[in-house]
Amino acid sequence: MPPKPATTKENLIGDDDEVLQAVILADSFNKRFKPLTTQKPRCLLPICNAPLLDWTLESLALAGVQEIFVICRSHPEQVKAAIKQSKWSKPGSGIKIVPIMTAKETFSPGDALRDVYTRGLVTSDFVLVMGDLVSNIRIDEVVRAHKERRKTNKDAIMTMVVKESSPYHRTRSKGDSAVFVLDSETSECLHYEPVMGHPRTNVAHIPREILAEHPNVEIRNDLIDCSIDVCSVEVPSLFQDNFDYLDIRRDFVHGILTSDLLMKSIHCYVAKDGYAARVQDTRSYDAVSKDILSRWTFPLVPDDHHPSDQAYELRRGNKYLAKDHTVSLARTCKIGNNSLIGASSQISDGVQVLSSVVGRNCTIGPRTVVSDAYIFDGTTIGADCVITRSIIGAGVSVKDNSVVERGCLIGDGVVIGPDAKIIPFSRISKAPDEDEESDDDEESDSDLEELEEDEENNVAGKLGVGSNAILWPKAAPQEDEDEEGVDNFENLRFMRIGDDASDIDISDAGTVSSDGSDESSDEDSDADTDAESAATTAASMPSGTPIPTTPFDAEFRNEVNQSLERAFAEGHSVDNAAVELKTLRMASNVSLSRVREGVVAAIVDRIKLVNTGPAAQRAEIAAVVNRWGELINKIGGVDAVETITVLQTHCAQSERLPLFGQVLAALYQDDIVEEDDIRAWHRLPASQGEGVNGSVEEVTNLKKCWAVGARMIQQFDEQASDEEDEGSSEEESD
Amino acid sequence: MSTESMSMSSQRLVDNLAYKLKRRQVVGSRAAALETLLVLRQVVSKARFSNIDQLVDIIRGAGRKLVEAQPKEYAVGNTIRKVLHHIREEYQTATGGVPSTSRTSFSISKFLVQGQPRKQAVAVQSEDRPLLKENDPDDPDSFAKGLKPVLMEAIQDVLDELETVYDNVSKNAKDHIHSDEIILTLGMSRTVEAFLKSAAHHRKYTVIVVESAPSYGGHEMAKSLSAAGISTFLVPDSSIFAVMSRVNKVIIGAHAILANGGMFAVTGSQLAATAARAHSTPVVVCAGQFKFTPMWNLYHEYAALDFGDPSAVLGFEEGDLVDKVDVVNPYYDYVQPELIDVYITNYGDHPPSAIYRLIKETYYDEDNELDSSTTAPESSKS
Amino acid sequence: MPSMNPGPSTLTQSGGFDVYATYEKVLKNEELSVPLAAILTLVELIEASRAGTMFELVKELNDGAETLKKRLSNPISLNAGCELFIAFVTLFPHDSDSFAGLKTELVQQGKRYAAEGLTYRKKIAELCLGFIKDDSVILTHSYSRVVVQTLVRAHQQKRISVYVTEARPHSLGTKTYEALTAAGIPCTVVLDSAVAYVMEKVDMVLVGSEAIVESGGLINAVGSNQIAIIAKSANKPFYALAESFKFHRLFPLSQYDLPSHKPDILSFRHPKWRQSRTGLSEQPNKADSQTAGSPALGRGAQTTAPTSITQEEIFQCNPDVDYTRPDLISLVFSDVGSLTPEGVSQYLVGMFAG
Repeated sequence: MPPKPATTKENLIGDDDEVLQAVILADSFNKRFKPLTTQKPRCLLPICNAPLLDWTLESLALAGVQEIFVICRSHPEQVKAAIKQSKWSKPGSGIKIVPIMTAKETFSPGDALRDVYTRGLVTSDFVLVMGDLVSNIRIDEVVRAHKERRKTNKDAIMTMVVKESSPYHRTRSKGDSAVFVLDSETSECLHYEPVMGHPRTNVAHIPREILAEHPNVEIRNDLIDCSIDVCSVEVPSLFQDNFDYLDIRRDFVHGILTSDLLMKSIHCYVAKDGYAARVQDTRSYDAVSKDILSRWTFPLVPDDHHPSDQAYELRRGNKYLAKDHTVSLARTCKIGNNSLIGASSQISDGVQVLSSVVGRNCTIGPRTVVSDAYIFDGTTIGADCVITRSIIGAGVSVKDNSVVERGCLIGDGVVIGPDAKIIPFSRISKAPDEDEESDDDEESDSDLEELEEDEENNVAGKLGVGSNAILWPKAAPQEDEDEEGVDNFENLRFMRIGDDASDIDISDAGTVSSDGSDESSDEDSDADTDAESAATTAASMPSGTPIPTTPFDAEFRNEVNQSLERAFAEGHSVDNAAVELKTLRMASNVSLSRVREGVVAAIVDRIKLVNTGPAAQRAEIAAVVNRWGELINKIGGVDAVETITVLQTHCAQSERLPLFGQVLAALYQDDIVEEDDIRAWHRLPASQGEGVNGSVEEVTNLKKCWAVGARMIQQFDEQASDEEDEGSSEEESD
Repeated sequence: MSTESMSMSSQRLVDNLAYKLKRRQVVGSRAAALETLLVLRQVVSKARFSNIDQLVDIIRGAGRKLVEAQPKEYAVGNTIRKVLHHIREEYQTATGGVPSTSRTSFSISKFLVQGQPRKQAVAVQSEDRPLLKENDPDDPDSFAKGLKPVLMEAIQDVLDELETVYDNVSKNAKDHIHSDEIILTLGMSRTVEAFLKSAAHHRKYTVIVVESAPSYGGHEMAKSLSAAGISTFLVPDSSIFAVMSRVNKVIIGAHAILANGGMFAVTGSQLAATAARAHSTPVVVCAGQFKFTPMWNLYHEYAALDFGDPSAVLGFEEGDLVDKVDVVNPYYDYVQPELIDVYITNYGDHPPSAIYRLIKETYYDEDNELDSSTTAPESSKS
Repeated sequence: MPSMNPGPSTLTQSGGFDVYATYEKVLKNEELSVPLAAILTLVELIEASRAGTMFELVKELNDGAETLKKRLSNPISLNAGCELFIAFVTLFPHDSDSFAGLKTELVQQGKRYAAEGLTYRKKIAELCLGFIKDDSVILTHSYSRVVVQTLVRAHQQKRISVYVTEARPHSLGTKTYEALTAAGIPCTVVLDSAVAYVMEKVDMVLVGSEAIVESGGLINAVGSNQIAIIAKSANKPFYALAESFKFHRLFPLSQYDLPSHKPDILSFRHPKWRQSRTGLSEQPNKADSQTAGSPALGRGAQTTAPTSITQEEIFQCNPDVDYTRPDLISLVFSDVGSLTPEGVSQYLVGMFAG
């Protein structure tokens, strides 16, 4: 007998007088699935032949949710119609689903939640999920735990469901994940640090106070954020109060956790059993499809409980065929493991369908190879085609002898071929493209592609003679001024189907510096400082390693500089300058270390380079440090070791390298750094440039700085001869 | 469609249970059978019908929905067939015989199927008692009114049977287990649990419980048995063969018993049965009659074994492996009839070869296929 | 397939009605299988019969059946049909006003059944469908209409490939091959001696039948038994397809209990060259071959080279059908459903016992 889930608990939920409500944010608020999402909303994209929304609704139904609000923005009529036609609108479903059409101006989850607040939709604790969730986690248990907690602690406003996985799990997004710092006992979330693939987040910066206040802390970088949040009623109102909250995680969670005023707490529910994942990008689309096919989502599997109530027959090797015998398989076709073929589809002779999903009413011509691809309903693929790791929309016609290489997204109704050759990561749609039809240079991909992309007529040639399609330009970072943060071009590559992004890991420094000329030179070096291993376990990250900056921070850095310049120029007091910086930090929502970097850099840059001799230079330094050094420790936290590291990193990258020793000495003189701090810094491996994959020059510079520090420590040792033994032994151990 | 005559509320009940079955919120043969019965009772009590065919259609309609929702929970279909059987029987006694099998329609094919005509001619005698009138144009509900009390009683009978199934299966337990015997069992089966506990009242014996990975139902079983004072050993699945030489009997449960005498049972049963065969150890299967499934070809279908999610076998957190390894986690084994010595049911003890006949007696042949549209020509009438 | 046996043609008592000629005429309909043809023959016999009582009629029927039986070398499936119809006639509840009315009723019943019987193959084909997996390899033996129909039906929905045995001596396997190939099913003819060789690649064995007997065993074209044995040892399912009118009340315990067995089948012959050399008289030799029922053959053997034997001769002394024990059969598919071999006897008991 199968293991029995807690059926009795189902009743417990029912006994509650309150109706369990859920809010689905059915819009993606991003463009990762374009052009597939030009004609229909993302939540209606099929995954394993059922619309995403159905999977989400089914996940909620499993949890006993009774009332669901679906917040839709793009193509709301379609969502509304889909819900109306689905089984959910039948009387027996036991679930009330209310589609809410929100304004076109709703650009972020935050806006949507503000809308939820203004409409007064939720009346009690509710489940907030994204419209791309596939889960079999028993959310009702989370709700129960949440309610239990609320009885004793009114400030526990939210419980985030996270799924235990591993750092390199296929379902865990490399481009958009997070480090969670949890209290081991209460599972309170103490700190949230988003992790990106590019620029690579190597460091989780955990505020010191957390470690001071909580004796047992788990720092976890192995969690899949399922975006299932059990929220209290006040959550929408908090969004309303803080109108600048956009993202639920980056802004809201971070804001709540860093706020000294709100005094609210957020908890995590680490799901050990069950499955939950989001289809937030094409890469996770691939991963979640495979998870469904390999039955991780049981009982939400095609042959058992397909959310759209299609019946599939399971065959050995996780092959699913529509059960109504309408699938026509040619005798010599080969269906590989983990594949699904929808009703009335025809697979011709010699075809290989490997780890792929084929929709309903599809035709695949002779000898075509479809591997790791997703083909939506009603698509026809001709003979001798090769389709690899791509998503092909509905009603597409790919004519004979075409090749669709990995990572392509082909929109609905497109006709390509015959003999089309689609290069990797192309986006093709039928509708006339609004974006300018420019053949931009392929900065991140191979040279070969650049050559191919050069000529306009080449494009037509590649799509085939009979094509009605348009090749989308590849998004380049400098064109997308609004795509910052997670949605920067390089980072998006981590979310693309078929992109292993290996070239980013290997040869990034060159590419970024060559075309990212408008970015500050700091960026380059940071891109260099990626160590693959650093992302694996946050727990092992020393808090004093060089702090990388991201393009997202570039703007902030700029503002810090401006603010400090003003302060320098107008002679503000240190306190006033500190207040200004704090405000800035709150507004931009960056970590303290970024501010420190900014301040240290600004101070160092403030120092005039004097050619008249070391003494004059020293005086210049002393003047600046005396006047502003204090600011470093007033920005919100004291971390002298980091200060030194930041100083070192900055000096190593700038022409002020020779000043390192003197600045350090000046800081020491002003008690901004202590002797112990210098020793601690000196002991860090990263201070010697170890584990820093920067340019040779930079590493040498770092080493030089380290040597300066070493000399300084020597001096300390000489001064305090009684500590000599201890000090030198520490040095030797390095 | 027949469901039209089903009232809204009963339709909702049916849908509700269908979803529960689909979502695996109701699992286990007995739980599923019980839920089905409760729903059927509502459906019948609320049904409007003026002849037997309409009623049968209503129940079939409900049954079809439930079976389609979860075809692997065979007890659902079995319960429906059983209820249909009872209803037909009640109808026959109420109306005094089967008008359709009157002598005029006797033919060679009937002769083949039903045997010699005089055998069934007996029922036709008692025509003088007041009969229920079908399709009464004056009062279309009169038939339903007259029949419903007996129908409810019939359903209650099935319900009672289901509720006492463990007791009835284990009533002769002491005759099957002798003192100082060593019994091997596998996983967690309530029927076997009741059976062993019942025997423990009279005999002192030892049970070796196989833990049955990955569900580890054996752990629960071992706890329960040792709490009842039975000397219990818990062994891993891999040692089944090793311990078999000391075992006197293998007593296991079943998920579904098929018409050929084979069965579906928790994964590992096949292993235990084969090991028992190698040591000529008798294999005894304890199961309620509601697990008798009038189906044959299930064991040909790969998916009939019902595959669960792989997380019980390989943790999801093993990210690197998840990508490269396909993990399968079947719930059931198919055990061939040759490997089973006896079935102990609430209707007595039977060899596997007798199951076929029992199934014929328990269900009407025409109900065997609930979900097929070809089987019920009378269903097209309403 | 029934083969003619030379022998004296006899007329039945019922006037000029020639049972055998009628039977042959009925059998011209390619679709009819032997038991159905037998039933239709007996139906015509009733029509022609002048019998005034039930007793007379049954006697005429029995005699007619007996005559038919004598004319066929392999009367097994014929027997099944005759017995079924005669049992039906005896047990038919005769409440008709006149005996003539009863006869018409019986004639109608018989004809109706024969027509119905033709639909059984379709029924079996549908029933079988659930047992045939997609992409499976099926081994079949000789030629059987129900098997061919089943395979063609399965081919509409599933990808199947078929091995068919050549099935000497009649080599009807080639007929199956032609039928299946015409339907577009990939098919290969396998030598009877290569069955063990091919068994590993086979998913299931599907055979037709002459008759299914009371033990649940199967009587079918010779070679079925060895296929069943090989299938058993390879743990492959062995299914028999049989319309219910082929259920035959017979309980053979060995091959030699079959009505088709004649003493000359597989009998040993004295090595004649030695006899002639030692100068033994021809008398016992002649008696030998006469008991074997083919004097021509005996004489021929003496004139040809003594150590060689012709194909003809081999065929002559080999059986047409063999008996397969029920424990080798996985399931029997019939129009009354899929049955365990044991389940068959239930029907036979229902018809003939008591």
